[in-house]
Amino acid sequence: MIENVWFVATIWVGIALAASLLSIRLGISVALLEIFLGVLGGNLLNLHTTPWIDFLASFGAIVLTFLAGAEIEPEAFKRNLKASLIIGISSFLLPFVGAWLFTYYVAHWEMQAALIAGIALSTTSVAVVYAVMIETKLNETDLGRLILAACFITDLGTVLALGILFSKFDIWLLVFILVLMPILIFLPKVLPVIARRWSGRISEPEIKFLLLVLFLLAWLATAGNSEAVLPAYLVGLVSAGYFFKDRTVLHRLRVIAFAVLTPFYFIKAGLYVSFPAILTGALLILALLGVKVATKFIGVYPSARLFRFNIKTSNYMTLLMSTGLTFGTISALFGLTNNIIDRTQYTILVTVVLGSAVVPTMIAQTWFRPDGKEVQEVARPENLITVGSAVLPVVDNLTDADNINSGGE
Amino acid sequence: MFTSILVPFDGSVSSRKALLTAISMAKAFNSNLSIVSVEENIPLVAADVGEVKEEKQYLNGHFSKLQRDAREIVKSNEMDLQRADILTGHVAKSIINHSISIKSDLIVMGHSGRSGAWSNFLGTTAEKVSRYAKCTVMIVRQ
Repeated sequence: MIENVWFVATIWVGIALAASLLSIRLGISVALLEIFLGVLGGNLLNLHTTPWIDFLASFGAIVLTFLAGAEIEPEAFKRNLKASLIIGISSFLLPFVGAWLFTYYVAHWEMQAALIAGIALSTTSVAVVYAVMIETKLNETDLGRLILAACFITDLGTVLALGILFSKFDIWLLVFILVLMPILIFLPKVLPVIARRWSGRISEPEIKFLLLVLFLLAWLATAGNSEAVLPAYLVGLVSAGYFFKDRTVLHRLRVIAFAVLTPFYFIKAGLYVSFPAILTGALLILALLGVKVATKFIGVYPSARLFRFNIKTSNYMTLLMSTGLTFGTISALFGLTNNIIDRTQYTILVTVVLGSAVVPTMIAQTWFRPDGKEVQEVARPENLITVGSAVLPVVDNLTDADNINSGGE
Repeated sequence: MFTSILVPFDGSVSSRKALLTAISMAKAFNSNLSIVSVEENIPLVAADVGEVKEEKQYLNGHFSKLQRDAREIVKSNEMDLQRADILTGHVAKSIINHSISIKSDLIVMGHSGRSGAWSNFLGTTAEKVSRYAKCTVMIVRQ
């Protein structure tokens, strides 16, 4: 009974449905609830994966990463290139080095495991940052676009590190690079041609073409001991210009992903989190969360102040860039799947990632949320200066007097 | 007595009753009438940016429909709305701040809207608005 494929599918889809309904009812992200229910399933129901679930979960991670890359706004990125590069690279590098060194020297993890810790905790959740910005309409200002562009750079650092640090550097890696390069160059030109010829057909040639590209690159990447999300993110980034104009394919792909792929990924991510390991590793979890937030502060806060954001906005930006979810769990799961980290270390990393999704967001929203007036003030054209290609705010002493948020009016 | 009345409208039975009460009061006092709806359930911790965008798009459609319903109710009672706004964020804070920005001197709202399961633990939106609003608040029971 247990091994019957439809029985297993019923259980997993039942959990996914419960997570969806709870998420709508409670106003909490479906991904978080899927992980949480996965944790319960793994610890209390002895739920386990099968090869087809592993495939769907990996497929979900690839599509999710592609979608994440495809959401970048190319024009805003080019406009804010210098500032977003500085903030984004600092936001990746310091937490990466900090968490790597901490787990290696203080927690005495193996070098490879410590590298996974560094990568998993270097991430920034662009989605969390974006969701928070919507409330203040910060996403519609140049300041908001700059922060978002910086987040994309941080995530690019994460997937590059994950893709490169564990590669075998053999013939497969060479083949992978030789295939990847022309795809990255020509894909933005090919996509509009495919759309012109076959867009809107029920057989969805556009989506199948994208999946073909993603699967091909995933095969070559994993053959070279790299990670399939690296090419997926890069393909997403180079296609973003096309998808910015036409979101239909992205919407359809997201519907497929959220209905039948990502639930398997997030439930699986929760499955390997062990309750006893959380209890025994509680101190390390807190310490690593502290390391992540502290190194994000060292990396992002000075850059934010350098670009003349006031103290409150700098704190807000830094806390938002301390969040993590999707790429953090992808990195940890990569480590576990490839036997680089054990289940205890995985539990610690995923718990820290989940903590970083919730704790900095709550602190930022409660104590550092810029008032509507403040955001509008920063975003006013006369308050922006141009440094190179970047548009930066020049306001430094905005009032903190009015604590009521404008609610994005 | 009241020159500008604001009605938070979430489509619940309670908010519809509050709107009808506000219409009667606006007629009696010759006041301006405005409505506001607040999108709250945008997932803060989402898996990707597109999830947030699509959820926001869904909520925009949902609240636009609600506001069309509210306009119909107002119109059928031979009144005009001064303004109708859709905000995003914390519901109580958004209502309070909006009432300040449009200078309303009375908020008429339902006792229990769609606060969901959290209201059992954290209190209803009406409780929070009545506690922190700068103007008079009238809570209409179902």
